Amino acid sequence: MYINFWYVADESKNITEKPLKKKMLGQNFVLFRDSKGKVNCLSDVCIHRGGSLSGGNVIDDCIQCPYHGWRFDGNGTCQKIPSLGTDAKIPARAKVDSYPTDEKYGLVFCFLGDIPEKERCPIMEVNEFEEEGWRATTQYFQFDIDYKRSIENGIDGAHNEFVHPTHGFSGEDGDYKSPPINITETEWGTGFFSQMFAPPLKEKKMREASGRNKNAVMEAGTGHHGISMLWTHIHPTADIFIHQYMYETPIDETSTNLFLINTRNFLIEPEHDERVMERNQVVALQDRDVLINLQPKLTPETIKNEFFVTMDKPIKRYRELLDQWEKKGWRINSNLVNQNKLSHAYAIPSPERRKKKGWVVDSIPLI
Amino acid sequence: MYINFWYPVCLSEELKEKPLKATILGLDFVAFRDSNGKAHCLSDVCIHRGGSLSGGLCHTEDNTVACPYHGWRFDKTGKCIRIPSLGLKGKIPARAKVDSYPVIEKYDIIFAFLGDLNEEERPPLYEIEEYGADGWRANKTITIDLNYNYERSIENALDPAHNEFIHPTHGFEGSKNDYQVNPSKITETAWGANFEQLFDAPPLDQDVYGETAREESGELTVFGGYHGPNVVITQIHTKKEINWFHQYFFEQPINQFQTKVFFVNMRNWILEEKWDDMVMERNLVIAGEDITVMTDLRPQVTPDTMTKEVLVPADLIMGQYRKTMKGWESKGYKIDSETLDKNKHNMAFSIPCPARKKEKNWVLDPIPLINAK
Repeated sequence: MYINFWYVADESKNITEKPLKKKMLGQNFVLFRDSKGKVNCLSDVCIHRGGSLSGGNVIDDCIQCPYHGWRFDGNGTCQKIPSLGTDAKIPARAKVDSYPTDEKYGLVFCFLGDIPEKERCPIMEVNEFEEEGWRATTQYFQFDIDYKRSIENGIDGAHNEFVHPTHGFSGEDGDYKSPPINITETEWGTGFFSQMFAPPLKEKKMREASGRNKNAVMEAGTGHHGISMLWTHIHPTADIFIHQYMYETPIDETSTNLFLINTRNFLIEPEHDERVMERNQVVALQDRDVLINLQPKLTPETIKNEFFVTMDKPIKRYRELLDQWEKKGWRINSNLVNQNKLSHAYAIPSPERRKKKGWVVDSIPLI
Repeated sequence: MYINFWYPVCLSEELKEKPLKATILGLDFVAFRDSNGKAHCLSDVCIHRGGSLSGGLCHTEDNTVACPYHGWRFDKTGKCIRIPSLGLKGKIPARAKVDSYPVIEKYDIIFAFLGDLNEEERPPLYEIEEYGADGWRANKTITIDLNYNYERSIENALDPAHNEFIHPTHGFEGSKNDYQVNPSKITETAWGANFEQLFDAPPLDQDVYGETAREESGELTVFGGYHGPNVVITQIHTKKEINWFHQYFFEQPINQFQTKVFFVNMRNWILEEKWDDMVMERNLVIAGEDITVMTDLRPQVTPDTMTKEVLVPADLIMGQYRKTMKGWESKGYKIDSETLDKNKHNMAFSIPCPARKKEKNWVLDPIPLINAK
């Protein structure tokens, strides 16, 4: 797992003035809205004696620890230590990490890391969101898989024919061969488009809406942005588009939250939402059923213990980017964290750590 | 846990037209049948990107098992013969292979040899001489799941001093004043050891035991032994010539803490089918009594040194079993479970198959072993 990326904590509708505990990158965070509606995200560990802030209440835009009532504002600064009395000076060291937040597309994003704003990988954009002629739906899944396995599955152009037979493609046809892919690289990711052989759509409504009633060649593209964001553009015909955006958040090394925004430019009336979401769920569960059984659970550290073929090129490139981010010192030393899990609380370093000294909880060990 | 022995994979009846996953020695295997019904066993991890082969399909037209993830097909030798994304004409690289293990189907069990020894060096699969012989009847082979280490289970079956306490239904009385365990006669075999043990047996009353009742107290002899690390034999001779129960336990260590026992029960009396249920019911009552005590033994794995236990003369056969195991450890057959555990999330391993002695270039690393001495 890597620090210094934007991760989705939850859907906007779930973050209220009641504190909510969320686990990301193996660490606990508390999220709450202040009176102006701004979402705050702090490290959940009270620096006094380790209380879980999310078990407390929000009072005067501060989160109050349930253990001794210490209050921390949205910046993580302690504003009140009840046992010292109201006139007491609060020591500068009394602060918890606070993380930049952003709300977009109905999701709450938290930047879990300490690099300055201009160096950050931006949040993947959904240009179709609330655009005229488009309809968006949002879905949430939680799977017991390594998020990297899931991202690699997303940029895998050769699994559809086997994992998603409901798509109608058949990898068993004698003349089947994966089509060539054109890889495009960006600063923060890799993507590709290819022409896939596509049978007529099985479902009558879809077939009518798309006009695809015989074998055709279909354009589809997919790619990743940063460590845990995925886009997939499916063009069943020249005019019918499905554009999907997946934001993944590692809960810990082997479980992941997935937030999917599906946009479409056909059947845009809300009455079709349910059908679209049902389809997406079927497909997501097909992926899960295969991914949950992959060995090893985590993507191998070296490709010498796997067997890559041409279609795995985008995955190889993803791993190269992971290596680059590891070299920047962004990779969490999970072995060490696990080893010390009973004896040590850690915090993901927030941007403030680059400006101020005197932090109580140790910064999470990095490779 | 040790490589280079025959391990039960599943019951014959469990393996049909779909591939089947079995976890043995802490790793996953896939068993499947070809179009002739012959069973095969491969490492379950697809060497492409780690798919679980057992989640895929059997193709009868080319006798392969196909990965559910990208459809790569592997034949009975473990060789990949099709990579769909490369097309029909795509050349399959020699490195595209998974480990394949020798298989024997016997006693309604599918066994695989999990190791890399050549055929002439391998310990044989245990031979039940009376299986299928006239004057004998076998119960349907069953499996029993245990939530404890297989070595603990083997040692319990060998143990001549537990019956009087764990199985009070036997009628033996361990708490009476003149009770003492008779000495065991132990003889070593090529792959284990046998023992002969005389028990003082009480009368068994007609109402409860029916056909198996014994009018007065007497002696009964048990011939037992172990073969390899995971097969244990108990032959109970209630009388010299007849009234014999022969029990064979082929144990499958799922991992260090879970075991599946494949149980073959033979008898040379009450041969009619109608007695099968009564015989098995008795056996399962006894097994249940063992399981209750064994599940709570500590430590969960038999201690590495006998200084952490107090062993008495009645434990001689267990000492023998541990000595034999040390011999296999010094040959380099023992799995380094600690290293395996430490890497369980980020490394997939494979038990080396015999082909690894002839061919190079394997994708998965062989399972870590404790160095041969």
